[in-house]
Amino acid sequence: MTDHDRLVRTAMRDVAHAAPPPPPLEQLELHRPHRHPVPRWVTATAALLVVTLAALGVGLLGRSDGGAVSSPSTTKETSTTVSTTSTSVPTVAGIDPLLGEWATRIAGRTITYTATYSCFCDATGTWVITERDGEVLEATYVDDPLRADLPTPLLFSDALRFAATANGFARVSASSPTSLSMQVDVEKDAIDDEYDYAARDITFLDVTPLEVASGEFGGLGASPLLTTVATEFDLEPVADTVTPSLPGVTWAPCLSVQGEHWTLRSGGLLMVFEGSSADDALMTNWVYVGDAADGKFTMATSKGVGIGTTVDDLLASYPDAQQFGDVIDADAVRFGVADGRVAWFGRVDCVSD
Amino acid sequence: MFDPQDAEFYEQHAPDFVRFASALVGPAAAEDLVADTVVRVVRSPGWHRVTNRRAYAYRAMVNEARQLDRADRRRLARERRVGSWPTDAPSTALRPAVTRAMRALSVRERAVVFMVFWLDQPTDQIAATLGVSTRTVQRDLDTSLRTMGRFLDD
Repeated sequence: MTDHDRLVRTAMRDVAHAAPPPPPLEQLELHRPHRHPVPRWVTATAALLVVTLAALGVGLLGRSDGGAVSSPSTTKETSTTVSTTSTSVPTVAGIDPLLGEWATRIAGRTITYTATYSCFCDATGTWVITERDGEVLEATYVDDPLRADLPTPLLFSDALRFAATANGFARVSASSPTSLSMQVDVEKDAIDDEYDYAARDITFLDVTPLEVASGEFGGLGASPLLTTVATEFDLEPVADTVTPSLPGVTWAPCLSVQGEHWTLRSGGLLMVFEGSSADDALMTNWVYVGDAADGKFTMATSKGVGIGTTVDDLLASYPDAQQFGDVIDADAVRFGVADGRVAWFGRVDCVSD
Repeated sequence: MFDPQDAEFYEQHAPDFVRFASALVGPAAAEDLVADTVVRVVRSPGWHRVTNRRAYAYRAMVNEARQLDRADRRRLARERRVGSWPTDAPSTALRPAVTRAMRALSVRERAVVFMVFWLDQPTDQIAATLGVSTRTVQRDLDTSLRTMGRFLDD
């Protein structure tokens, strides 16, 4: 060690010894961080930039999601939930209800997605993350996969959880069936705790294939009880006072009594149960309209007929099928046809009659 | 606001934090820097997932000090423009030469010098904490030693 190094070491010792005692914890509990002065031109430029980028982002998102929406197997649910919202200059403070809907949708599920996190912190960057109910299964830092000191990724489930408890704001800047972008200020009085979070290409990995044979699936039999199916598939029954509207299907409850049927729904699968009470209600109808983004199930017949199968292939698989206009009955299942392909299928007659 | 784990973390590291903060912004502002930084990191959404919280807090302190430094420079520039004399009185707790030497360094250089000469940390560890390359740490250290030499050798 040189004399010069010794001088520097002594100086550092002086600095360390000159330090005041640490503030007591109780003082920190009440502490409000100082707000750094920001020149007006910075805020003005930033605001302009946000508006411009948001406008560009909305345009890009509209194009990228447009293809999925125009798919022939697009469901009613899909088409109604698509909403590309421009909230570059939000007018309503508070928590966007769409954030809560996504939190419910992914709860307990295994999902993979591309997350872009922007914050006043070290964890800024883009990740491809697979998580199950808030637990990381895999995370790859896209910005620099070889980086040694990787920041800790913020999970989509956590971003939604923090948004739900934010007392600043939690806004949705763009959304589609497979993506969500949000802007969050967790603590109104704190600075630099704001973050932008975008989850794209959200894919549910825990989708169970269900094979349909003779109108039955999942080993449930022809007319299973509501309670059995709800337990088996972990779905929440909904008492339905409105006859479910399905694309291309004229729906009529078998009992013809309003208020005495229940539905179970998961993505593109809708099951209807009827009875005098929830305890004795039986499944009378079901219909599958395709793989919605958050569906727990994907369905096809034992002969491989599913959404998107051509009419020619359907008729080849079921030579005894009977065609009535745009519906085809085969193997105790009714197939709805649009543009020469299967658009939906299920048991839409009252099987328990 | 502080859960027991965070409180324990703070109690354990607070003395080190104020010493480091003292090197970054001087003894007078060290307490505020520590308070600001700790409150911020504990409220940060990703805090509960941070594995090396001590290193994270050190880095956050450097970032926070940089913000203060920029604000301070702007204030000084304003004062110079309007003709007032910048407050330049050295801290009573430090020798004037040390105060002047520390003032001549950037925030990151102060962090590097303190980590090398007080915390005895190797350059690769400092680089990981500050989120820069080891080469940058080495360069900062060389520059700092040259700069400090001008004041301390007098």
